[in-house]
Amino acid sequence: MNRGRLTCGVLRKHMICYLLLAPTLLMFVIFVLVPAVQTVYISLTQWEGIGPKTWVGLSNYKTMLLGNAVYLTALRNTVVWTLVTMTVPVAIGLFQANLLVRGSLPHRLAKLYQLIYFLPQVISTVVAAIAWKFIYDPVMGPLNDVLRVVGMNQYANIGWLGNPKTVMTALCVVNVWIHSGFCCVVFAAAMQGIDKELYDAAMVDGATRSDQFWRITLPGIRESMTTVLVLTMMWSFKVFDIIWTMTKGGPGQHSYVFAIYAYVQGFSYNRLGLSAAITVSLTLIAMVFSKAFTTIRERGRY
Amino acid sequence: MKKALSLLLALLVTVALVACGNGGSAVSQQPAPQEKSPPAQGGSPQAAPSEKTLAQQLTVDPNQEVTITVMSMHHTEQRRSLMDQNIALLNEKYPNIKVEHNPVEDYINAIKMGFDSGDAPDIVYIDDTTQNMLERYDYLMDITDIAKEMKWADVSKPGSLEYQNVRHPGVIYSAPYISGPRVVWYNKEIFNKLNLNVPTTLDEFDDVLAKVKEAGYIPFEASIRTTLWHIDGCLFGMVPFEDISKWYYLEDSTDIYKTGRKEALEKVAEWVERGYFREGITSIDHNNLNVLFPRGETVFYVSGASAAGPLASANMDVGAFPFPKKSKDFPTTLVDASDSGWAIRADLPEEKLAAAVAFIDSFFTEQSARLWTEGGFVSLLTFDQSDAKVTPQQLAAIQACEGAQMGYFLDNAAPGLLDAMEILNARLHLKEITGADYDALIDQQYEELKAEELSKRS
Repeated sequence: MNRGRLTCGVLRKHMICYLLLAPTLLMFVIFVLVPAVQTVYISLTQWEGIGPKTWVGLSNYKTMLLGNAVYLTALRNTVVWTLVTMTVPVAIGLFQANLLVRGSLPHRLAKLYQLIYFLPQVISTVVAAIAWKFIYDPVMGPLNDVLRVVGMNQYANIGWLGNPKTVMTALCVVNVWIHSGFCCVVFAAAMQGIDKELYDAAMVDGATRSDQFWRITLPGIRESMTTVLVLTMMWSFKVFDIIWTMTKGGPGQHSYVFAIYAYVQGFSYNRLGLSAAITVSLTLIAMVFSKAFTTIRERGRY
Repeated sequence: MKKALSLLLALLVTVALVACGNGGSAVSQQPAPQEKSPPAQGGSPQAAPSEKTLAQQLTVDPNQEVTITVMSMHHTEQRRSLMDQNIALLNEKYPNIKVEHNPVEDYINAIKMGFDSGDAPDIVYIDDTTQNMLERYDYLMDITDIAKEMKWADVSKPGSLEYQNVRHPGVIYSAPYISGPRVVWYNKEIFNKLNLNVPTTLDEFDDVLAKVKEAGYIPFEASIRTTLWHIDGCLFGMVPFEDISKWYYLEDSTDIYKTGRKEALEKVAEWVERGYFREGITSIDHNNLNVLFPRGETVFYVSGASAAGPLASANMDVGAFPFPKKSKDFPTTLVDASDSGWAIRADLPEEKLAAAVAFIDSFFTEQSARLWTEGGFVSLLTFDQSDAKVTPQQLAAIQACEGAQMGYFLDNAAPGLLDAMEILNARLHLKEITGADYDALIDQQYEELKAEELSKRS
């Protein structure tokens, strides 16, 4: 009857647990909850980042939502970015992990490959972005030189980051390069935990490699898959560093995502209220996506 | 358990909201972010309400160790080095003054954060727009009397001190000592090869650009950011300075200004249409221009006089001239706001005032003027620098600036205008909009930002 209810007895019994949790809770309150509430409050004011704030109610939200083409551009780009960078690194990571764990590579070589795949994750994102910016440079970058050498001259004069048709793809490639190693390592670890006897039994029953992948490997790494997808989704929604370092949202506003839009409004236009409103909307959208995703996953489980 | 958690959460949210509430005003009751005495009449330093005369207040006590904190945008290697040398000059005279210099790239936001959190540096290096914002909240010391006492105007080029402070006529909040004039650099080798003459009017410039393009060279080396200076340059060469000033200070967009701006934008759009900029300009990194121009593919490069340093390092044979204008007799105005100016926080402790003023004064000396000139900047001081050791590239820039008056970086008229103009520049170069579209869109943005800025001021 009393299960789940906080009584003095229960509190005393689990005191050590609550005490151990307290510092984390305190940190959460100070560094997450209070700033989050402050952001909501700022979104209801007009503030230039200095001096007093003036209460404007929902005015910033109206500005943001009503007939604002830039907001729609940012929304579209954020959704595209999230879909691409949530699925492609996961697919590549899955493919790599399957090759490393289920392939016939010697153990040491497989470990070495894992390390190589994971390296981009270790490099600072800004450093990686600067390096890729150089690679894409239309005049001095090596990418166009390589294209020229292999005879693809029609593509060799493209300013990859300055062309509205290629900019988002070019940016997505960098993100995929950074994150697929992470997916690979997580999936490889999960795959190693699957009972080998399942594969042996499947082979006895005549299952092909493909059958084994779909019926044993994938269900076996379901939990890791959920974790990776939710994490990459969150990283994708809040992306800022790669895009800011490489294009600052340009050319024009062709690579604007929410975080860039919020930053520019907040720190170039001194519209911290509108910037906070954009951030709140980004958080809400991310929460809805995240909840929808986990709900679908939970339903699929039972 | 649920009740207890709900109560805890409610308590936390209340605490957070109360914490937020402290930041409000109109509604909010945010106190002036730093406690300080009210602004004094006549421009006396607010932090020094003592009975000492101003001269006494500004006399450095050699026996007292003082540390002053300074924040500036002097973050590049070139600027940091010059700052270090200037501080060394100060320390030769006042070894007891310790300067903690914090050079920051994103200095406007750093300054805002510093003042708003009550942790502002003692001295800041600010442009006129930021100065206007800080002054609005009484964060800056009125240094009119100090500037008079230290005779900074006497050693500065006529009007330069007032120019930096023109948003507040009669009051001085910051003191500039260098400027950043934009000139048109040209590749002398190509110029001689094609037998070209330095253009002074826009028509002559058009002829030269056409010849250069025909000869297979790229006429302009530029990035989306630097194409702003092409527009500014055209405007200053077409529109009377008074009309531009009215627009810049958010007073009025006169018909003359509007017509001139449209013509200027159409001129730049025409250059875009004729392919006078490097292909893929929207992908060009602004920081690479000093590397791209010396490659010898491009003839013109509109940039600051301080580009002389990198061009000298590349051993490039260059000349420089002011941006051409509509007719020879039209006044020459360079995109040339003062680089920024030194300002003192309003609530500076009295015991630091003399050291802070001594620090600023160290930039108004002959030695300092020579130091910054030789370092690649154009000094705003009147000291004779004919014997300064400058490279041929620097000399070209200095000569190009002679006799020209200072203009503005027009994107600095209101916060956000730079971003808006950069976006429109990119769209113009991507041929998504025409010069006329640009004109209409920038007018719309300007009016919006102007209304916002004026409402903040009121």
